[in-house]
Amino acid sequence: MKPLAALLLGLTLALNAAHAKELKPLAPRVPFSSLALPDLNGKAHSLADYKGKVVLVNFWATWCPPCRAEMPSMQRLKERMAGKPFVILAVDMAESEAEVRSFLKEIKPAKIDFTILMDKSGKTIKEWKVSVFPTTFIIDAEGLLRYSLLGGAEWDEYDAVQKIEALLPPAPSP
Amino acid sequence: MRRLAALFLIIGISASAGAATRSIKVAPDVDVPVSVHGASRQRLILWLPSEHGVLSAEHTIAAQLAQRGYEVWVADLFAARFLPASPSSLDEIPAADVAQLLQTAAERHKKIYLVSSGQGASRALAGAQLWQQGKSCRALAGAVLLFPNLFAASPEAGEAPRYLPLAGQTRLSVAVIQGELSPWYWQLDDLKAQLEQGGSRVAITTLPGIRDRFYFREDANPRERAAGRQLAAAIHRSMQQLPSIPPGKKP
Repeated sequence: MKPLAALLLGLTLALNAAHAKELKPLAPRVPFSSLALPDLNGKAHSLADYKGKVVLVNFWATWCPPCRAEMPSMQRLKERMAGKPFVILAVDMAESEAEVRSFLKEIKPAKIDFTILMDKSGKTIKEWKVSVFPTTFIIDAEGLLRYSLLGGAEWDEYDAVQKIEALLPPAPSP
Repeated sequence: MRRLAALFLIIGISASAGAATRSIKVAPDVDVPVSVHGASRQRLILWLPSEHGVLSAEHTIAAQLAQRGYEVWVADLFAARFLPASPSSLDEIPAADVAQLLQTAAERHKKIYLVSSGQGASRALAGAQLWQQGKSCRALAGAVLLFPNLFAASPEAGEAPRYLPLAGQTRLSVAVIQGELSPWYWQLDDLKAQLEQGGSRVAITTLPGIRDRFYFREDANPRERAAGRQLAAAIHRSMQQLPSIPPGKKP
């Protein structure tokens, strides 16, 4: 019985691994727009502000279960990359600040402190042709789109971390 | 095979308590089980299943529409071909099955409306397109499509979605009902343009604060459950406000 259980477990793990969502490489290109949006506190942001850093741009909404599910792993990714030139910009789809703040309270004690941008008019969602939620793009330090991913993911797992770290610019020599 | 057919019939009967059942032959050896709610020779709704199959919530809505004076046929296209409800099974259902249902409906009813949701919208349009070929088809008054998915494939990130060719080849009065809490809400202009390419006329109703699949999703919130209870009224309104097709070439 034990070998059978082990075989089944192995098969399950292999299937899960095969279905794990991975970042899909994109032919490097400039992003669809400058992502000029305010954050939750009204501060203006633009991709140009982050030149020299790897940027994870995530399109999400509080009503989208896979978006909610991946947020804690995105926070863990941010913490894992602390001190490195890496930033997360999570673009909320056309909701109010109150709705987003309420969600952030709900998921406590998991603290979310990466930047959340508010796309109240849906303009950026159209410009970036987002038709699945969540959708995530990775932009390299030169400001070029390098990867995309449709659907939710565990952002602190090996594939994502390894691909994002490979995009980090070399540290300046002392 | 007969036992399987009987099983499907039993399942259908239990899901559609209160409705009469009939079977409509659409091809040799292919009989579509149809639950019939209400009775009217004036206005018939042909409700086609989505990739989620025939749902008990849809029988409830059909019964509510029957109270508004419609006859509603809830057609189990999957059971007719012994297919499980799934997106790939839906692709296997020939447009001819829907066209034959429309033909049968047109023999007794003055006005016919198609209703479907999600990927079921593609079967509705494909059936309408096939049935319209070479006919003046005045009986087909239009289609009400709930959060329709007419994409040719799942869009890639950052790429404009590609639509099924039939979206731009069907000439029909179409009403789209779309919740605002959906990425598809932001594609409505493109969807309308696609449908209008074939000569269709499109009216869009958006539902604030509502997600796709709202009338049958397990995690529906109170607002979505309320919208589900009001869906029969919304479909009725959409049918009354279907845009007219301008005179021109016959489909």
